Amino acid sequence: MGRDARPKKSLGASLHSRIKESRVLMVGAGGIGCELLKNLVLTGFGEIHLVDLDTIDLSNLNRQFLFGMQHIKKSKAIVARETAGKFNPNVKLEAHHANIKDPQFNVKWFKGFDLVFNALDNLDARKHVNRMCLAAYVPLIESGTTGYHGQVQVIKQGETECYDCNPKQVPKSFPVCTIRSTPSQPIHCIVWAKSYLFAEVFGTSEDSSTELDQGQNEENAQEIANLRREASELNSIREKMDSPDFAKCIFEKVFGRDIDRLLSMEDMWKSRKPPTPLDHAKVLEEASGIGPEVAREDQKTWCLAENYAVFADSVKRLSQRMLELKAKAKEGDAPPILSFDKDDEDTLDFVAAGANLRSHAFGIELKSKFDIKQMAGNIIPAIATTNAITAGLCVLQAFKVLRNDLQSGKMVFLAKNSDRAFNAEKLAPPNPECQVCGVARVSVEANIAVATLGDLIEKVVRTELGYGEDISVLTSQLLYDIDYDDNLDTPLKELGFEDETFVTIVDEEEGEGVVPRANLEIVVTHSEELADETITVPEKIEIPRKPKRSTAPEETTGEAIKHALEDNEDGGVAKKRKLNDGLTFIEDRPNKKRAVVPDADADLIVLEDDGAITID
Amino acid sequence: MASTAPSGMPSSKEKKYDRQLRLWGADGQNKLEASHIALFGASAAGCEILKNLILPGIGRFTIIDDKKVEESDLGVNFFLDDDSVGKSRAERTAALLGELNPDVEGDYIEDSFSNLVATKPELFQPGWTPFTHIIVVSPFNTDDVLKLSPEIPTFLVHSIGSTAMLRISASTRCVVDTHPDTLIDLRLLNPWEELSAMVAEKTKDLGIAEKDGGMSDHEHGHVPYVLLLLKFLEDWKAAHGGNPPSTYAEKNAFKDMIRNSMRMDVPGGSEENYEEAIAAVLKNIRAAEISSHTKAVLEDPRCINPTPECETFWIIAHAVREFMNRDDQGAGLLPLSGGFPDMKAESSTYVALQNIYRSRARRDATFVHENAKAVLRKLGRDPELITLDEVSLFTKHANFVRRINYRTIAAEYNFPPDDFHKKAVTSALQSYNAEWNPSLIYDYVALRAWQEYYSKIGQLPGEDDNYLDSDIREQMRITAVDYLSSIGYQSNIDHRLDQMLQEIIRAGGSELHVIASLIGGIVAQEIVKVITSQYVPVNNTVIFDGIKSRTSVFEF
Ligand SMILES: [Zn+2]
Repeated sequence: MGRDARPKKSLGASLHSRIKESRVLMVGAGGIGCELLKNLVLTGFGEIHLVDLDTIDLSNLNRQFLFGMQHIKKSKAIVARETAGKFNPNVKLEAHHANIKDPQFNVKWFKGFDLVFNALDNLDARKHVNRMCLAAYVPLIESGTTGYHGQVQVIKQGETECYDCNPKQVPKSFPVCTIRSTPSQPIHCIVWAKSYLFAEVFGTSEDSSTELDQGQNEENAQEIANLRREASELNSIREKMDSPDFAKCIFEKVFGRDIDRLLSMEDMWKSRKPPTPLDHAKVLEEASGIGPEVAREDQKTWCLAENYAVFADSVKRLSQRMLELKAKAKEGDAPPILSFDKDDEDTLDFVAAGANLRSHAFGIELKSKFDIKQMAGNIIPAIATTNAITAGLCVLQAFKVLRNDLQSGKMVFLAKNSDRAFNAEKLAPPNPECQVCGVARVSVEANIAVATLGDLIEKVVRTELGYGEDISVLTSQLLYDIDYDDNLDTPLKELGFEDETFVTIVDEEEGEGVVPRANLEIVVTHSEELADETITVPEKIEIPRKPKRSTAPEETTGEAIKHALEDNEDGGVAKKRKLNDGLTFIEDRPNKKRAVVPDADADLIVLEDDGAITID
Repeated sequence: MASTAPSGMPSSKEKKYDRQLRLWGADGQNKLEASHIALFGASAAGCEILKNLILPGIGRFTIIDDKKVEESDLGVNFFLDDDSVGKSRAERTAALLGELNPDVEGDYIEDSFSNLVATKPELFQPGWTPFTHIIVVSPFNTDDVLKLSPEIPTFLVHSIGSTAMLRISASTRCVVDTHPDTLIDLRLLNPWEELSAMVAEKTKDLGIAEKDGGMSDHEHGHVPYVLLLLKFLEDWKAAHGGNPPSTYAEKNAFKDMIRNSMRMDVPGGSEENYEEAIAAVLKNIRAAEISSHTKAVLEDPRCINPTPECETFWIIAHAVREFMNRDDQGAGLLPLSGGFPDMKAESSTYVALQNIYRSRARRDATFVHENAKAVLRKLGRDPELITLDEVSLFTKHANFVRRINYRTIAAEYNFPPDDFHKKAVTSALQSYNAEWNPSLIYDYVALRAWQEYYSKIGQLPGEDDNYLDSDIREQMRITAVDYLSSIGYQSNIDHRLDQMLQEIIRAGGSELHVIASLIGGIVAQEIVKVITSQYVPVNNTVIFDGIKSRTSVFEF
């Protein structure tokens, strides 16, 4: 019996040959990715492309078995190809050490695949691939795990829900005043230590950090101004980095004087427990005799003196690194900075001790370094077993797709529940209100250096497609609406267009008996060959009208669903998802701005990425 | 003196295992590292299971297999390469799997399961065996697995075409750290003195407007919802003959009562703490109930009469039982978990309230600890054997502890079958419905027929092309029907059985890599649960259908 004999027998000849002829793309070569690639190679998929930007880290090795110690810091995509490729010489493997959002991976490139697998770890890239697959009409198998939980979903334009049909949990952000002035939970102090203290002393300063919600109002404008001043004072302490008193300088400023200043704002503490400034001399004395090795006890909650010892020692280590970087820097180089990395012990020690010292001053519970690492680094637990199960389910769903049998495709949820390993549900149809897949699509070509926004709107949108006056045109920003026509004469390139750009047209026509068109997504591809402002439109298409809005159910419906859930805690993930579905109707009317831009900034708020499902 | 060497560097092992330590902690990891897993059958499924155990760092593994590597193995087993063809399958897979993790020691024995069971019984004897856990992957003879000791945790695995099955057998598992979704227990219907005192203090001006000397809007909007609920419960009870709201209608009326005292003329039109209180009514206004699992533990003879040799689990369970029975301790209630939710509150009030729950939990754990010491003394054991930490872990999970009595494999294969087995299979067959309850019970019946065919004939059904599939199917169908009548099932047999027989015969005993990989994940997950004594392992059979991506769990 040859290598192929067994798979052929079990799968049946026709599916087996379809698998052999298929060309698939795998985005992400992490935990699920390693398993998936192994499965795809051994199942005999004809041609597999993998894309991953990451390099291999020690903490990957407990599950990403295509990598070994000798591969640390190398490209995941390239090493995965080398390791897995050996196991089936008949499979063509191509690896790209690149970002899937790079322009080379355009809609045309996606169209070259029969199937795409998402094995990603972040919301932003997932949403991107979802959109590309929808635009290219390529089926997508989306997957993710966290701890013992996992999820697999088949997505196809027009036939199933897409990744964005259900709103995703938005990462949490904190008001700047909570972080800087009135913390009440350990996480507030951890964010403070990481995004403020560390950034000001060793990294890039606050204005460029996005973890804080800078939204301000009249009321706290004064306080924000104070905080700005405080930050720049701290930033200037950097100059004393080569002084033996550097740790003392930082300590006395942030745990002494800054807290005294906060205390002086009596209004703030009328109904809150006021903080207590820390006395450097006293803490220093208590900490004498505590060696830096206490930092190794990462499961223990350190006392004040131990936190001080770790703080002082990590300041010493980080300053030393900065000074070495400075010494090496050439003239004209940007001043060196350090950035927080949960796996970089020096930075983690500084943040852990800094957060705990602040917690101490504010009477907040202290945390162990182990816990702080998880909270500061947005760590998602990950193990081999869940990845193996999830990747296996991805391939089984791929079989359905290759058989053109989406009817029996499934959305599968994995739970740690011992009564059943997982729940499978029929695939849901697209959400007609979804702003990502519920759009009409058309592709055009233009020379973006010459053609203007006015050309696009007049020639394509109005003349070819028959839109009226009242429309909005958006990319990641609003380009045009009836009250904003400043950009009409601007060439597309100057409006941020690239080789391939998605433009959304929203029909704003309103009135008695008028049903506006569904949103239209135009993919504008740049073409050097077009010498003038001509824009080529392939064929005339009919833009469907918006689906009739479902009338919002009375509020009690939402309540009733909630109760059903509360009373049935064993509902599992599946039920919860249904709950979300039910509640989406209650949301506001879709907002066109939110519609087009899957909030790109959201991902930068690092604390709690994408909630339930995240892979590694 | 200044050194840039990071003094806080954890060992590289901790770094490597960081992502899983967050699931099972150092204790779970130590237990993993102390295990020695035997794998009988270096099939694709077997190797995938081991892969998922070697990666997280078990201590040792031994692979037992007597076959030589064939070219067709390469198409399904990732842990064999071109150079392996013709060599010992045990040796080659042990070598390639061993490369996955230098911290794990690997070994192999080139021999068959049947032969070892017959010639080296000491390998399978509790007290003698070097193996802590045994995995046996099909094909195996039923008679051979019946010789395995029920004391050693054993995992029987089938992976045939699109179908896979796991059967777990082990001595009783006692799990404390079950990782329930929540440990929060507010005891709203059983407040104690300190809690009631805080309610009185923090809610005394609740109904008074600020202008009349009552609370400011800020204070009113920051009374923690737990205190609100306790306060309104007192009011409710006063008006209802001392009874708390119990029916759905009463709970709704209780919610209205809370809603009516919310201040509406505040920014946003409502108060978050009141909203939280209303949302918590259905879930939290209920009598402290003891879960059926905990009851099973407390009623177990091992709990009622612990012995000088028994596990500490039973001593602590006994101490908890005593705690509940004593009026000066639990007075009928389990020890408090101490779990406390987040809520809208001033941080100082929140911390004070949280401390009331925590000190109560600590008080309860200390009582249990004292009881446990007394039992140890009475049994002539070291009274310091059980630490307060161990007791606290138990009392924290008191309502979630599990005792799993695994049925033996012999009990499942008994002829004639025992009543438990008969009832389990018959009731699953009776409730089967292709539309709305498509459980995998017929897959089980088909796999039993497969197992019997192999054990009797020594050949995989469908493996030899000289036999017609239809003949084999007929033969297996007769076996299946015989089995069904042996358990007393005479009713109608669903078409699913024939479908399944056809499926597994068509596979001819061949594995499909993706199914092997998937069941490899499921089996390894259960083994990790059993080794670490954390989370609740399956009791005792899980079947997977790769065509519909479904699983069923049965106790046979
Ligand atoms: Zn959608």
